[in-house]
Amino acid sequence: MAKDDSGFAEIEEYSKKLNSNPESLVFVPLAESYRKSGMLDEAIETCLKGLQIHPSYMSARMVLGRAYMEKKMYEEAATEFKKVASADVNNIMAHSLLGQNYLLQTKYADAIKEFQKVLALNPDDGNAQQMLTKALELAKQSNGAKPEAGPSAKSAADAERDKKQNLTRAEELSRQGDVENAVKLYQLILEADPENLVVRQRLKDLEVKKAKASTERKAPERPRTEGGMSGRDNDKITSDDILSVMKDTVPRPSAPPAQVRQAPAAAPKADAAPVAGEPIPALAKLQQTEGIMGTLLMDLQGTVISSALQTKTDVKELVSTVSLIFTKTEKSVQVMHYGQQVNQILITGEHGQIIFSKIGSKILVVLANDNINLGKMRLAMSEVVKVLR
Amino acid sequence: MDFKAILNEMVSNVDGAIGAGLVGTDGIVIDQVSLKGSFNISDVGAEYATIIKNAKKASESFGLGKTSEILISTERAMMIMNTVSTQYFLAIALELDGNLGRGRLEVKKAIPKIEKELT
Repeated sequence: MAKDDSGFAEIEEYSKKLNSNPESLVFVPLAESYRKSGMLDEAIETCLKGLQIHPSYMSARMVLGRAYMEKKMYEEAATEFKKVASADVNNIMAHSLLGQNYLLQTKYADAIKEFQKVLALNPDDGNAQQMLTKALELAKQSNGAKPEAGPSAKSAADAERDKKQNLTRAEELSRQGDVENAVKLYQLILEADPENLVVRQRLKDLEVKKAKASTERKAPERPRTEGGMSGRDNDKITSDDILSVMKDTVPRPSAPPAQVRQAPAAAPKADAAPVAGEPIPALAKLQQTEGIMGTLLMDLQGTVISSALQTKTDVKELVSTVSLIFTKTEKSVQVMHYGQQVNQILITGEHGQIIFSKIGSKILVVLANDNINLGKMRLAMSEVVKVLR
Repeated sequence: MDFKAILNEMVSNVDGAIGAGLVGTDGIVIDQVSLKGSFNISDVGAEYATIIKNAKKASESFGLGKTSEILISTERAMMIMNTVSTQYFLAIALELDGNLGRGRLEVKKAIPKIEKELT
């Protein structure tokens, strides 16, 4: 039964368009209108038909998954969300819906994992935090009510408690300078929870510390310095930490994650320019802004100065795309007599937005989701612009 | 309501608007209005189309999916381009001190009217 009559006009319009061009992508908004109007069978049928022609169109799979979920066909819904999540590991919505789906299926351990993934991608996601708390609570309750009936929930709750205890202990050891045992403990946690990005980061930090200590025998335990990794507050995990680990964990089809190259020797003001690979504090801060998913700083010649982008595409390829779009757009605006150079380009797509800003001889690329509007994005960028200028 | 009327309404509501046009993705201009002599989209429709094409490419490369809006600012002007269906786009050019927010809003308001005319 239809819930909302206003949806019919849309359905009619989209149906007409789809009839006139059956290969059109309009089947997705049509299916979504069906779903919103409560016509779930029609939504599913439309998606399935469209996906036969456009099997890699992930937006269709999201609509299909939602329709399945509303029809309480949880297994089918999970299959669709998993396909989206495996095609785009950074798709927060897919992980979130997968988590909710598992929650409805009382698969609490799986739900917890999905919400943890959402939080790894966006630590400030209040909804995911709430859902994770709920999943943990339900896992506990299920464990208490039926001790033998819910092994997965029980193990999830226990594992979470053990993890917290081990984490606290490992951090204590780390603070006391017992790197050896802290590393062992972190490794133990990782064995139980290999996708724990926070622990991976801690382990990575300690291993770096250990390696430094062995190479710099004269100063095995240097005092913490302000601003550097060794001077950070161990209790505070920043999104930058998580993103840094994700560079290692997010699969990339063709190229290694670190595409940061040394700036060319002829680069002007080489002394003032940030050293390749060295974190730029203003960029790190920008990266932590809610809604901002990644940043890239490059020069006009296409040399990457700093990259914190999590996309499936090779950074080299992205850099050449950025260079190309700047050059071609600049050429076009010159022909149009709108100016000699492009200062900023913002592109809004269905899954987010990207802004390219020319700052002197550099280009700052900021990738953001829909949670941030243009004004906030510009405000967040203003500090970086100031520093780079 | 014809296209020109929609475009006229759009530019008259935006402070600092120079002109606007409805262009096909092949660069062919369907209609345009100009508040300043310097704005003649008919001559540069193909350049707009090139920008749209490249932006679409960038959007895909960065995993943003279908492009809906492109904003460009230069040292002299600002441009807002929004896709209308898959075959057209609506563009408005503003002076540097033009009201960008209002421009975006007016473009978004005009799109359904244009889509209605196109069907």
